[in-house]
Amino acid sequence: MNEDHPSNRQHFPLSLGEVTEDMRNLTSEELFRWLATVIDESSPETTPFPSTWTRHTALAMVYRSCDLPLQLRFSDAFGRLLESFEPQPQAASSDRHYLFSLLSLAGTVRSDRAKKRLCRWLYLELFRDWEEKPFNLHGELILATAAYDPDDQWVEYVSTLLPTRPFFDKVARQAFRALLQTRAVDCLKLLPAMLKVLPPEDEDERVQFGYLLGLTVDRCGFDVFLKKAVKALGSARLTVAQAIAAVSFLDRFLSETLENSDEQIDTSVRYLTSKLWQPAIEKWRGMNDEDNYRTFVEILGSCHDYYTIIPQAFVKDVLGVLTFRGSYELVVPTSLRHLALFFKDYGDYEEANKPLARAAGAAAGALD
Amino acid sequence: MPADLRRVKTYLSRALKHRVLNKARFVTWLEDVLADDFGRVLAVNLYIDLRTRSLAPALVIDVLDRMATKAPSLTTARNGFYLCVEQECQPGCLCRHPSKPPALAPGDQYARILPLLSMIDYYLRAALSISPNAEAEDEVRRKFYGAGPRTRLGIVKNTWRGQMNNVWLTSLTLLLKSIDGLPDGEKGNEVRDRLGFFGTDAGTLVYVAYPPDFDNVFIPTSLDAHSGCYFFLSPPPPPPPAWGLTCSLASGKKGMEERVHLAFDGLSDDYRSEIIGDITRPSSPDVHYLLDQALSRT
Repeated sequence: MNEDHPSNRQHFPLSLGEVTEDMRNLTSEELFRWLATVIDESSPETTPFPSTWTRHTALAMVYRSCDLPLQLRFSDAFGRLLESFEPQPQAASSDRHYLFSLLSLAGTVRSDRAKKRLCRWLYLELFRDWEEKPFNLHGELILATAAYDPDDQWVEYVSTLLPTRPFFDKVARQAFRALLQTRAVDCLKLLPAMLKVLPPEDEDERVQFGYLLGLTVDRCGFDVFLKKAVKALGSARLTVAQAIAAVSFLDRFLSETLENSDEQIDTSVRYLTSKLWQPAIEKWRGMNDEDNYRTFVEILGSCHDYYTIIPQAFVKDVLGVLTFRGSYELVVPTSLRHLALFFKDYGDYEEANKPLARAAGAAAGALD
Repeated sequence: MPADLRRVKTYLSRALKHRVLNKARFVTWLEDVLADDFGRVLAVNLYIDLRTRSLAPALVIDVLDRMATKAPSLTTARNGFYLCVEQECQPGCLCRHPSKPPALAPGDQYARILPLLSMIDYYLRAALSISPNAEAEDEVRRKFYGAGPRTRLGIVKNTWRGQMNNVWLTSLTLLLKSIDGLPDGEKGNEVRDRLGFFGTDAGTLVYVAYPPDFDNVFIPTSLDAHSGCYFFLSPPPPPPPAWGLTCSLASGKKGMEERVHLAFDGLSDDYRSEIIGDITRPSSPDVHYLLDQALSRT
């Protein structure tokens, strides 16, 4: 008996290659138990391998280093492991962490068994409230299932049902990414729902969603992206404020993404103006006073970058000007009550923007 | 048992036994921890940290007392100690070295070194809504390390902590110097060996360079390590240490200087990341060299 053999060195950490070799000698049952122990960070056992990796990453590296027969056995054991996980309604922290590890590994170690279990969890939405900060585990489940050549039911769930769920905002980017991976440009069907839940003042969310949109442009090209995005938004029954916010978001994203291409920027501006901005403004003009003012307040709340207050001293009866790349829409107070409300809510904003307001006032005066 | 280890055992016993709540468990643990090489390294590290006053005894006693309230560990005494640190004693025991380390040399910056897959897990996964797999690795290589316009690290707003709430850094100047002139296929191996990344036998190493003004760092102690830090050694006295000095995996290579900081959320565009190199061969950790180095520091 060789006392230096890794399997004889109890608790002695093993290299990746040694772990793989040890796995080869395990029965299916032993492999299942070994995997269950190693992936569970709350287990009193430490990993057999010392590592700068997390356990799921180390296991993914082990899986990658296996030959095909061993990978198949590994996948089968992993599928059994998923099946053996019984989620409790009130998940303990260790349960959430364990599930996070399983879902992390699920994108690498794939099997039919795993796919069935993951999809079942997905459609039952068992983990919609589970978090392993900063991750929502239903979102991680969507990403994990995207690695399994998903079928039409999956696409229907992610693109149609999911946006109607009250928790969609927590999983929106993962859903978009999953659709992008599996159905490429069809992910843009989620764009209206994404923009509805994107917090208007959250610059971080904007940048991170912009990254995913950038990948979409990489994948399908600028022209297809623009047409599909605008088509999705145009058919989504957006409110006027949502449409204006969508124009604001897309315009900023495209300006940043296409920073060296004037021609593409011109194209996108023309397209956004004619297909989204103008129809929204027309709809706004057709509203009664009450709805018109409510819309005005909504627009201010979501994209006040496009709105400039004009002091009454400059242009009588014009409250401000909403501008988008050469298109102007003057905002006229419809009643004294609305005007009083406006100044109560936005007085500070006006004070802070006086120089800008003066310049815009002059511009609006010229228009008048 | 070598005389050096007997001295370590006697010192730890005198320094800790009369203050721990469960003396019998402590005595058993001390016997057990000295029974294998990695346990001996932990004992030596505690000895150095306590003797040099790098750690207050109360911090070590807290770990031992918490450990004593649990069922005896199924793993080694050394691993049981670190599991307790990881699961119960953070953040109270992290970044507790009492001396503020001297500033970096002008022009130098701190750098965190980690495998690309860990870079994805800890930093990029949440920001990019990405699942950690081979496709993710390809995308990150293209978007963050490719020849074209790169996505900047300001996109990282939430980081995943994993098990530990601290981060290990080295000097960027030292890092670049350590790989200067090496063939590309050796750079990852060299850094892996010198940082004591035992078990990192595949994949790619990257570094994250911190902004030049970042200085909220500490000299590491044995309580900043975790169960995977098999080659961590507490810095030797005297003089008072300015850096930690992890043992290299292989004899004949010098360990890298290290400091630690408490984890924080997110990065900014002032951080930047570059690939160091692929790991092209498994490590050959020399445990005898590790123990020799540990004892030489006593």
